[in-house]
Amino acid sequence: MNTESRSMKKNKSDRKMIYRVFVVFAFGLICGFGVFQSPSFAQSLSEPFTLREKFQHDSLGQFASYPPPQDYGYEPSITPTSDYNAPGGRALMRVVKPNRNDRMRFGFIRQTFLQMNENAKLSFAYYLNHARVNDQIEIGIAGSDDCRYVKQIPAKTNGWIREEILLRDFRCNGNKAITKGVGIEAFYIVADLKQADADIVYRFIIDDLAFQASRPARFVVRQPQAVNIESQNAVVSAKSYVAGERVSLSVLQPAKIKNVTATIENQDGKTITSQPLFDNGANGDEQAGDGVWTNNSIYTLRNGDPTGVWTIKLQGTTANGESIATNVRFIHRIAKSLSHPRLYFDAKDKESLVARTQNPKVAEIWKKVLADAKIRRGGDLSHAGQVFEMLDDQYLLPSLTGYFDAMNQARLRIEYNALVAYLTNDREARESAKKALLDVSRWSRWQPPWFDAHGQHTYYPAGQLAAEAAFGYDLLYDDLTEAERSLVRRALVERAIIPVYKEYVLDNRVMANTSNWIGHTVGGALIAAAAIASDVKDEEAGGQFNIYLNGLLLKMERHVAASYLPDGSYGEGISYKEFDLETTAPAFVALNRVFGIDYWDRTNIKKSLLYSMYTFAQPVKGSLDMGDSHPPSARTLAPLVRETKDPTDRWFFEQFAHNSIIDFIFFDESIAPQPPKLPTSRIFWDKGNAAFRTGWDKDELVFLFRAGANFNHNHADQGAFLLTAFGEPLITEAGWSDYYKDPHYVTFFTQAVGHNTVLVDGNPESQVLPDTPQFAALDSYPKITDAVTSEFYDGVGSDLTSVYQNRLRRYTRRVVFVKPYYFIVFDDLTTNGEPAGFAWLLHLPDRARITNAPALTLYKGDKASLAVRAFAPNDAKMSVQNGRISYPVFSTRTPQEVPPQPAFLDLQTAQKTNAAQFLVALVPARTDDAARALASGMTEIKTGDFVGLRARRGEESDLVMFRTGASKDLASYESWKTDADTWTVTQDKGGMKLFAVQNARSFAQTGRVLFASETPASAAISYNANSIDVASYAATATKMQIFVGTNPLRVMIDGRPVKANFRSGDGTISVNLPAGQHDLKIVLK
Amino acid sequence: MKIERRKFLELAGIALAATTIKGQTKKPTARAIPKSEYDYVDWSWEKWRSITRAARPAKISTGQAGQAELVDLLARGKEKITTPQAWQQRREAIKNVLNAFLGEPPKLKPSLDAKIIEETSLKSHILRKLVFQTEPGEFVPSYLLIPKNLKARAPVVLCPHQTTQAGKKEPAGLTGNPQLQTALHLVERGFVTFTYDALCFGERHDAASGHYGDAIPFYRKHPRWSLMGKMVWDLQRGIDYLQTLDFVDANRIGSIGHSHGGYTTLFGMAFDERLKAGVSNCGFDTFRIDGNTFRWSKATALMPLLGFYATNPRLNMEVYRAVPDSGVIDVPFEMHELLALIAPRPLLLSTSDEDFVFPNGGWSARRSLERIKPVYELLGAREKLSSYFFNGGHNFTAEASANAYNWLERQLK
Repeated sequence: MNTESRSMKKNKSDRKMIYRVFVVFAFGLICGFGVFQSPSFAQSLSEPFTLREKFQHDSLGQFASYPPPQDYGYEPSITPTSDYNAPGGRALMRVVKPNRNDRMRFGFIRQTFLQMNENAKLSFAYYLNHARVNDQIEIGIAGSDDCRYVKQIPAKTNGWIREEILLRDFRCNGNKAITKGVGIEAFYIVADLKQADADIVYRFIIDDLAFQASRPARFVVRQPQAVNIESQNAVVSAKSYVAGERVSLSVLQPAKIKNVTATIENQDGKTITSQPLFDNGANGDEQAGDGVWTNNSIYTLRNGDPTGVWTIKLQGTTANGESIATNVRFIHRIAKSLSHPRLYFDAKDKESLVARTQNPKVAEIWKKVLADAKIRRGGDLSHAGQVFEMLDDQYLLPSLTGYFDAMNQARLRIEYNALVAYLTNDREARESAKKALLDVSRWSRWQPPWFDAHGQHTYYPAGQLAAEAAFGYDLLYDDLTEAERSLVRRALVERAIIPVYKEYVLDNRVMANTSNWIGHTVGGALIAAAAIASDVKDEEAGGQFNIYLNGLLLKMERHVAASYLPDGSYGEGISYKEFDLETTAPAFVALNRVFGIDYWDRTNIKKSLLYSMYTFAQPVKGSLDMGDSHPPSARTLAPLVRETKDPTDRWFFEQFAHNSIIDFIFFDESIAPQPPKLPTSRIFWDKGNAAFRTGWDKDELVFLFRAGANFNHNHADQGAFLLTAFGEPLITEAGWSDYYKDPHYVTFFTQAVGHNTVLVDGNPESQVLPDTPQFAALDSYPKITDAVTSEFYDGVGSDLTSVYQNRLRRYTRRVVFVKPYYFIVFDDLTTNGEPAGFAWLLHLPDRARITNAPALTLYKGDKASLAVRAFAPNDAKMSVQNGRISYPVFSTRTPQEVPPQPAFLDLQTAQKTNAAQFLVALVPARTDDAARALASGMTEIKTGDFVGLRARRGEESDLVMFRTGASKDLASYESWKTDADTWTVTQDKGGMKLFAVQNARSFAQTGRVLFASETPASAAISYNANSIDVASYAATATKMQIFVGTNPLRVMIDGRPVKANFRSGDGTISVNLPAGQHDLKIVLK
Repeated sequence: MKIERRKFLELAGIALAATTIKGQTKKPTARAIPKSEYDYVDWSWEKWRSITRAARPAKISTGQAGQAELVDLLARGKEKITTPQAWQQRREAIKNVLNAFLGEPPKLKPSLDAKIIEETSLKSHILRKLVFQTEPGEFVPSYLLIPKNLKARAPVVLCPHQTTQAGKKEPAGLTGNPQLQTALHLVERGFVTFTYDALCFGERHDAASGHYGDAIPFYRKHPRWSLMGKMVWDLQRGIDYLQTLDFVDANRIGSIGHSHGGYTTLFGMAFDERLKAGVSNCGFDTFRIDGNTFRWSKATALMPLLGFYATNPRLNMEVYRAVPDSGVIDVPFEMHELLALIAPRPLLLSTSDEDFVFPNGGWSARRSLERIKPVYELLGAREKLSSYFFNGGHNFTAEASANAYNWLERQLK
């Protein structure tokens, strides 16, 4: 079990800090670019600074949509506009049409690196075309102290309105004012419309913005030449270094200082040297006392020094003791001269690659590569760039099919034919690849004009094309004249590297860093940079090559840190992870080979298959995932699996057929596959998912639950869950559909109604998309509050309140899996104000297979069945509603093959109420009789403190109980007494077989302590003849007391023996447990 | 630099156009006979404007103008249409807008004066060539296919042809693509079938004229009408003729067509309720999802008034299928509204998801079906609306045609 993930904390402050460490500082600490300052700027010298934005340029001014959009990549609702009499002629607009009459919040957010000072203020002009009396403009600040500071002002609609707001008037939690020195990590401006009208297209425009505050003082780096990238809060060197070169420094002080030290750290943050700088007219300093500090011999790079992205940390001190810090990133690259090919293999690998074509394991793949290369030779691509010029700049979607076709034809023709030409000397392949490469290099643009008109400079297919054009350049290098090489290099610089740098680095597009678009655009540009490095002439890249490279690396680092999470997951869905890896993984290979920049072991990317494995089912189409996601295909995983050398990763990889060029290039047979020996269930704390499995064989139960932050391509599906059992999907959701074409995509597929959620007052859009985890202060998103997983019991608790827009005061959903028999879902809801009607939804794949009877609903699949039994509320009514057939299979009536009609169970409260509890049992089984029998044997239990049920399974019986309300007092039922939110007891012939508690400090039977913990913890405890197995989770370290009955022979935590104190008086042992999840083995005999 | 059109067409993904055209284009000499239907020689929207002095239509709209999405057909402001009677009002409003674009037909119909030219006995049917009068002095060459051994009045299916200079000969089975010989296929299934040359095609095409060049004299004669309106008129005259036949059941008249024949069927059904069932294959798209109105106004002569909504200066014959135009948002109606006029009569929309002529046809069809389904439901005819999607280029594949013929049999037999 991964101990890093186990140590994740659950409470808010700890979780925030953990996230900050991993997502914000991960690269800074690990890779050494550490440009972020600490959350508190106390002791550091700051200077007044005004951030101004008038939008008189060709970008989006580093703004993004807020609250988060469904997709940060294609987000047409944010656009520059020159209409509506914008001051200065150009402004930034959100244009949104609500699906229904409801509350709507929409606006803008921008990341900043400012600090609060006494006079801090924000001024801006805005235009809002429609608002009602109580509508507001909300301005929010993400404080570095984890507080969201908010100021609301009435929304006005009479033309352009100018506002000026003092930051001291902002409040966090209604009363706390922002104090001097607190960092301002982001600010947002949002129109909050209490009842937006579905018939109105809303336009909210901002302009003439000035944010007056402070920022940390910073040295101006004169040598080496360096650039301050304000949007990334980073200083990057225009020079890269190789072993033997000397690092000299010259910096201008921002204020009078006493001293300054330069510390050089390698990519792992290890200090290489620390040297003073001088303003004394010596050591290379030209003039004493002029404020320019110099040291012309900081360090000479040695052959043994690890290559990578290094950091020079400048630390100065003023006479008043204030500190000034500036970090400068530079690339220490491989010293060897670069030849071609270089990206994924070099000339000496050719022989083995040729031999690989004969390897029986790859022969079929190679045969297909040869065939595909031939197929892809037809057609003239020379004019596509001209056609792209003709496309409408306001009307994008109708032309996308043709655009993609041309782009894909071009890149695949180059890729396949360049490789075939290189390995076989096939003349036709060479000519085809070369012609296509030169054609695309002559295209005047690689993106439709729509993107330029919307403040963007590139589009992700351009990144894919850049990657393959770079590959073609690399392999065809010897077949190109120098003029042709220069043509290709210029194209790579001008169509890929520069536009991507402008959009993703300077304009900080996809600010949350969570979109696969970054993988493709930035990854493609980095592959291009690797291909032309050392070939590129100054005039071809304007002398800025290293700055572009360094900036692109920075964005890629942030993307990978924000998306490839410490828990072994990826923020977007699995198919987007695989899509991202299509360019990101080759980019990692190329960066390592060409520059010596190794990200594989400095990121979480190598463990990113974990989530895919935990949600994997057979047949593959039954695999579980949420948001816009398809089942996995593993089509892009070859580079990753070759790199991890992990037998389990290899096993996963080999569950899929492989026949692409990627599989050939990155083929690896050095590791034998091995089925997972992982714990069967796992909590993905960072992504916000719980995956419960019964094993790793084909017919296992696989269950997935979600309560987490927004990343990208996520749906309004908080609290939703899915189940595949015995090879059959039993509990489903609307799932993925074509987001451009499906008429119900925005009203059903992405909304709460399309998922296994609770709707309030029948509103299909009851949930809104939550915050991303980017800023700790902007943390309005659901969370898994507590959980315990084991081989015999799984349980998870969550708080979902935040996505219901203040309509609910409290909503917790808890799921218990009494393994391997059944699941119990418990919802506890309290409204915020007016009573509400609630609807509990459960999506099923095929309406024709549902039998809905008053007491029990049965879904009968081919290989498995599901019994659904609702116990609470007692007066709720269950009905069956039609879901939506997704666009790709949608047809009003196709006689030959009518697709199954998806459906959902709709369990509605009989009347409006201020508080409601749903208790539903979900019983999967191989047969409908078995499912029905178990569900029918359950009886409801309801007390003042608990709602639960008793289930009888042969000679065993379970008691599954949930606490109602928010009280944490001890409460009793029969002989049991506990403060747990969830507790379960399984008895075998009256004897204790297992029990589990969640978020508990105490659990006792007739006064006997069975479990106690100093801090709230969760545990599942199984009593066997010779041993006791305990799975535990605690957010903080705790001392746990467990009833064992007899003095154990030994106690082990996570396989390591530990000392445990046995108390003969009550038959318990006490053990000290670190924070996180741990397995205890208590050996009795 | 101007793109060589045929080079562009070879860019399958961009042009999404015919892949059979190879080689270089030679500039046509004066009145040269066009080599294919893609050689538009004589039609010019500008010439039409100079002839007709037409102006952009006044501000009329079904509610669709200014809307990027296909409007909800049952929404009436903030209210919902919930009765068939209320739908009839909406239907009339839509018809009025469409009629503004179809133009003003002649006030009077002349007598049919049908004349049988020749009759041939074939294996399964009698092939009767005839003409009927559509406008005074203007006769439409047609084929009537009659099953042998008819024992009672039979259902009849009109089979308007696709965009081909073979005209009626292709559906009749005398030439062309065997997949598109619809009249022949259906007569073999026991239907009486009828096909005719649309204006600008077959015998109604001046061989020395370019594609749609015949529309110019038409517009000189009828400056306030449209070619699409004329095609509806001719189809209606064909129905008039069929109703005179004693072996045809006038209550069981259907229509089926591919591409040009497909939208002829749709317009015909929308404006003539004597058509009881219709199939359109690869003949449907929406302006907004297609991306522009160029194909209806400038690439063809069908509804030139739509040319006032083609505002992208880059649009031309070479690129209109690939290049969208944001001006399309102002078009006062949409094609899903045309489909809605057909309700509650049986309609099968057969659509290829790989149609290079209507590259967004599948998208348009699905979204439109979602909009017209509630109308059929309101009229109690949900089961009368059918669709079929397939992959097979701009074709009427064997599977698609079998599906369509079976469907027609269910509706008319």
